[in-house]
Amino acid sequence: MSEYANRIFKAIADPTRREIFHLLVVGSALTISQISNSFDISRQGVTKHIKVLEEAKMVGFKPQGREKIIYAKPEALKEVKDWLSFYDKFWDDKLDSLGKFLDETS
Amino acid sequence: MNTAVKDTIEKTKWFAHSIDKVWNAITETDQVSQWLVPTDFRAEVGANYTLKNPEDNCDMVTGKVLEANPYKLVYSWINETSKDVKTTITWNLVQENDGTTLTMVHSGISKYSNDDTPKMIESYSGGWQRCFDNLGGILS
Repeated sequence: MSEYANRIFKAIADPTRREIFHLLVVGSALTISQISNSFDISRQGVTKHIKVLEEAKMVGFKPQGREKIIYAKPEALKEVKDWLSFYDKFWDDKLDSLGKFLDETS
Repeated sequence: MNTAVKDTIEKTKWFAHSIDKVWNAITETDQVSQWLVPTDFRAEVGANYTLKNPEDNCDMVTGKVLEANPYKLVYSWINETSKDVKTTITWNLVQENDGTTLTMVHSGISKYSNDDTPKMIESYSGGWQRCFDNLGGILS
């Protein structure tokens, strides 16, 4: 799988990151503090999530006064065009889950 | 043949478990629901099934069981985001080295249109689009 597709899959694998991205998509651009308040997680935690989203090119930054605001770039999702690589990872994950399931139910 | 290779994902994995235990895990409704996705899957030829996204309870995949005889299971696999494309999943189990070798083949993947990929990825990752309600607007 391409490195870039991997980053997108990593970015969307986490529920909090998906919620943050969703908030930025349906709402407006927000600062780290505003995101932090909306989710009741620390600024540091938000910063980490934003970094992962940025690596996947799913968010961008604009300066606003002393802070910078973060905006969503949903078009990034269009870059993942490869069904084969998606399903390759999907089945790897699912067979791992199957292995764990079998081990746990011995 | 390159085209055939590109159209198919094949995974082989060995489990330190009996063939019947692995067979039950891939055929019984409550077990499949635990490691794959919540589903009403029944391993009876002709039975329709639906895979639900555990996060939002939206339909992700539907299909029909085409073959279910120990130790081979075949079913169609149709993504909700690309309903006109039918792919096929084939499971084969072989008893081997005090365990079970599982082979899974997902074929027909090249029939998917790449235009549908973002929708499909969202349908699997769930969370920010509830059953694709707003997706068209966001991506356009």
